Amino acid sequence: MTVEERIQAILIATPAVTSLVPADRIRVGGSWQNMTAPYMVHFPVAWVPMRTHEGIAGLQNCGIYQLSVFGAKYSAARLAATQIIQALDGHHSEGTAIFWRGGPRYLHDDEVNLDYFVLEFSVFASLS
Amino acid sequence: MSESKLYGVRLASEATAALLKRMHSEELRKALIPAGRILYQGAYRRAPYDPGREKGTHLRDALFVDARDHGKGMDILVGINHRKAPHAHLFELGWSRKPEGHPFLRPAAVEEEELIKKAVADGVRRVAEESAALGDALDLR
Repeated sequence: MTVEERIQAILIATPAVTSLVPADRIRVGGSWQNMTAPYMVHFPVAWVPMRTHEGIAGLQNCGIYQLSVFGAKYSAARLAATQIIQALDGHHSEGTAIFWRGGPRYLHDDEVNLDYFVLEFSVFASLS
Repeated sequence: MSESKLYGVRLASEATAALLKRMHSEELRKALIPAGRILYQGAYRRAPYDPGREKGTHLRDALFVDARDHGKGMDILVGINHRKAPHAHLFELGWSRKPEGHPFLRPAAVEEEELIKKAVADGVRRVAEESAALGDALDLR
């Protein structure tokens, strides 16, 4: 299972998140500009190589994993961002550990009049 | 009753003060610039580039690196000239049409972290060693 699949599974299994952002609007990276808000897109930004003297470590470390949550209103996007942090920060199961490392950073898209927040996490996952 | 004396405290203190002074110096600024250049070059390589572009500034050409003393120590600053590339933050963080954007600064910082740390350590060590050599020359020890 990839890191993206693990994050997706956690998010859609969290009622506090899906009550604000429907599960079918939680997507991995791609071209989703026609989706109805609220929606969120998550993807890895930077990987940190993990090496040991014995060779490649059985662990992958995504130094920055970004999750962007878009909403029609600031308050809706902000609330979703808070719930996402609660769902992911400190998550530890099935060889995956997730830590909140930055954000929420607020941005506004003038073109489509959407508010969005950028969240950053660090993800450690066993290779499988 | 036994008694002990510690010699060289004043000289050690003077040498430390001299070293601290050098940590705010032009020498340290020059010594840290290579660390900044690693991040700058990493971001430059990763920045979006459109070879067909004829007007305006390529995002990568709006990158800059600087090292300044802000009173509490030397800071290395790598960033974007916002006047030249006002939408750079959207490429870094994404926007509705392209949520993934085209990150260039954060991947450089994370993926080049070890090289940057080593360059900072090398720079500080070089200044400290030069300071020690100066101490020797002035017979501070």
